Amino acid sequence: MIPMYKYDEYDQRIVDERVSQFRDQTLRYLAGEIAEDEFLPLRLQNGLYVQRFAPMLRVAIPYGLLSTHQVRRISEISRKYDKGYVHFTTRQNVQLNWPLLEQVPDILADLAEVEMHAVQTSGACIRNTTTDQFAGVARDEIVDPRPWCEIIRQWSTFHPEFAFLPRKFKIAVCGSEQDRAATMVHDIGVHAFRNEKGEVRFKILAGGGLGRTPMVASVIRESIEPENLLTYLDAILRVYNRYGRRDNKYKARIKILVKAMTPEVFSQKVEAEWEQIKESASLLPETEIQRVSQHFIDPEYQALNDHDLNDLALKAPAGFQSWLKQNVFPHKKPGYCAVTLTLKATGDAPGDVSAEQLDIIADLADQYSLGELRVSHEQNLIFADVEQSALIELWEKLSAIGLATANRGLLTDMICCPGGDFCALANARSIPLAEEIQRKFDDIDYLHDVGELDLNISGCMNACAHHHVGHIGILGVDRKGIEYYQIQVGGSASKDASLGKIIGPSFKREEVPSVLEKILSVYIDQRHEDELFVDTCQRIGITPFKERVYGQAA
Amino acid sequence: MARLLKNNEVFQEEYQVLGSEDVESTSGTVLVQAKHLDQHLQRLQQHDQPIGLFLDSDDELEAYEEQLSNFELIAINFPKFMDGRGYSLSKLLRDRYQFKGDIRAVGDVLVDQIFMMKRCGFSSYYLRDDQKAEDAIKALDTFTLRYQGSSDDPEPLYRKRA
Ligand code: HEM
Ligand code: SF4
Repeated sequence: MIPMYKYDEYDQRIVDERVSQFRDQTLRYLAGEIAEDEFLPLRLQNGLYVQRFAPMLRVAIPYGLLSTHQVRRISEISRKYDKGYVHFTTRQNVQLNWPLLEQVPDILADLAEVEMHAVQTSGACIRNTTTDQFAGVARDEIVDPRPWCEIIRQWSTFHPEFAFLPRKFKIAVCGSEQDRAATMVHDIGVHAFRNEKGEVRFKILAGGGLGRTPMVASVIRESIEPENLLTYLDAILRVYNRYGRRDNKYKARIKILVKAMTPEVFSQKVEAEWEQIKESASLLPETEIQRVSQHFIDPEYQALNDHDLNDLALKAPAGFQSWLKQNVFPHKKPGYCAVTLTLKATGDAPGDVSAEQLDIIADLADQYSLGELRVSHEQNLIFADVEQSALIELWEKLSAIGLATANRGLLTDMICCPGGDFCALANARSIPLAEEIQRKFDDIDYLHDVGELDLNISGCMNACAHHHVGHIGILGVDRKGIEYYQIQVGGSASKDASLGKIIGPSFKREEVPSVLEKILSVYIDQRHEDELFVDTCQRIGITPFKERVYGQAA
Repeated sequence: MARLLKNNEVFQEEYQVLGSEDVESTSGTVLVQAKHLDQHLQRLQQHDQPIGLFLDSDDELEAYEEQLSNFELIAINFPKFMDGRGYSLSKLLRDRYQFKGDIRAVGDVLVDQIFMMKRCGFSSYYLRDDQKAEDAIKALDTFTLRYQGSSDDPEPLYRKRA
């Protein structure tokens, strides 16, 4: 059994009825009975939006979990209705880029057959809840976030009060010491922890977000009990629904409300609301927590011993070692590990995978990782339960399909938005820049020497690639019709999140790779032993970078 | 004239919203804007016509708490269907203020939102002119199951699951 939530007849009926509802809405729209602007939120809440060239369908991968059965269905759908490839996004969703509106109800029906949907993946509503891609297997995990994500998913699905919020609303849950879900830049961040008695509690943060006005979330409540989690979320959403700005879409996110009220006052307002609703039938019973948690109990791990991985590397072919170091993540069970497949091979748009690759990935996940696949917000795929003894074999098979690039967490494992090639809002293209950077920095030894580095490239200030929290962030800007790129350094998406600082005037695309090289040379010159790029940045500030890039005169 | 959906039926009804201006005579259902309630107190004493309270989506419901029990009908305005504040107002009326009368959606009231309105406690709807009556009636039953508790049924699915 894969540790994943399985629908019962109720869950299935709800998604089936959703498909019927949208089929009816699509027919009425095509018959001219629903106006364009009135159909818009209906299709958005079913994942369908129109980009530069074609409609795009964003399918939810709830908190990043997929069975191989589902992976094969996605591959099938991409061949049947689309061009045979899909795009994994920065919010644990997967996108089809060219579906026909008329066929979307059929696509949704095909998805519903494998317990998938595109519910609320777009629009001014509560979006797909995201979490750590290593949930359930990470060594630093305190509380498994997956049952809580599922409980939140069900609560947020077609929540009647919150279908027309001032703006979109994103929740992320983290249950480990390290935050791998960027919770600090979400509308609500939920940090699961254990109190001194070992009981599960949640710290609630609100008001994070990027876009035009980047902000780090504030603590709204230090600790809430599991039975009160949903009513507390209800209270936050109600305050936001009633008082969030609706006059200006750039000021409509909850972060603006929290800032305008101050986090203290916002929190008081939420508390006052919650006092009124906490004693209700919506209290989460222990039986439900148990029921959902049952789906996530550990699979039958074998009793294995940890291998000496260095020893393993010595016996392996060249190339394995750097992959082992970079792409293999420790597992809580001895003898196991988690493996990241970066979708960042030079020449492919970051996050893109072909149907052929998907099929092979599904076969490999069946063979090596208990039939389950994860997706991460870094747009990568994860095999979460790989036996260490199978690593070399798996690496060889992944290499054969171009999915063993040893760059997880390195400069070339960048997060990149679709940019000007696909997106109507773009100021500049981002994919060609990503490719130029990958070409410039193709020496894996150099990349390993530079070490962990988040590079994020957004094509405009909507910040789809989270450039503010990249250790290096690149933003496309338009200067008199010419594409320019502004560079910032020192951002971080971890629990002590920070926003990067702009180093100075922007550059033309062809200049960017060599500017990056200068920035990295400052780090290499100034780093202390074992110090990561971002830590050096935070220690020395931006002046040394400015000076190296723009010359001493600055 | 407007088309009113109530108790699974659609029929014609006349209604009028009273705001800051003084009106000599009225006909049909009278809805008094909460903001201008004081001005129309006298009319509230007369009982020859159905009179309801009219709330705008930005009205601070809490300010009218005392008056609520004087009404059997409260209308909540949707200036644009995308303005979701009316859902919270209706839920507050039902769940917090225990309002037992008729809660009516007015304004940009469209077939595809009626199901959610019903869940939040609305019990009648002035349909926008171009909306089809039969579609609206059908929409009241879009889903046979719901995850959350709400004003229509406070028990979430997790209290019913076998
Ligand atoms: C190409 C079509 C796209 C368009 C037109 C688009 C548009 C936008 C806009 C307007 C925002 C800002 C919303 C706000 O600040 O309230 C936004 C935010 C965002 N987009 Fe996109 N986007 C597109 C594609 C993508 C893709 C493919 C991804 C994933 C790889 C993505 C991920 C995000 C994320 C994560 C945010 C949230 C940033 C935040 O926290 O504020 N977008 N997008
Ligand atoms: S950041 Fe801008 S250019 Fe990139 S996808 Fe988002 S809206 Fe488009």
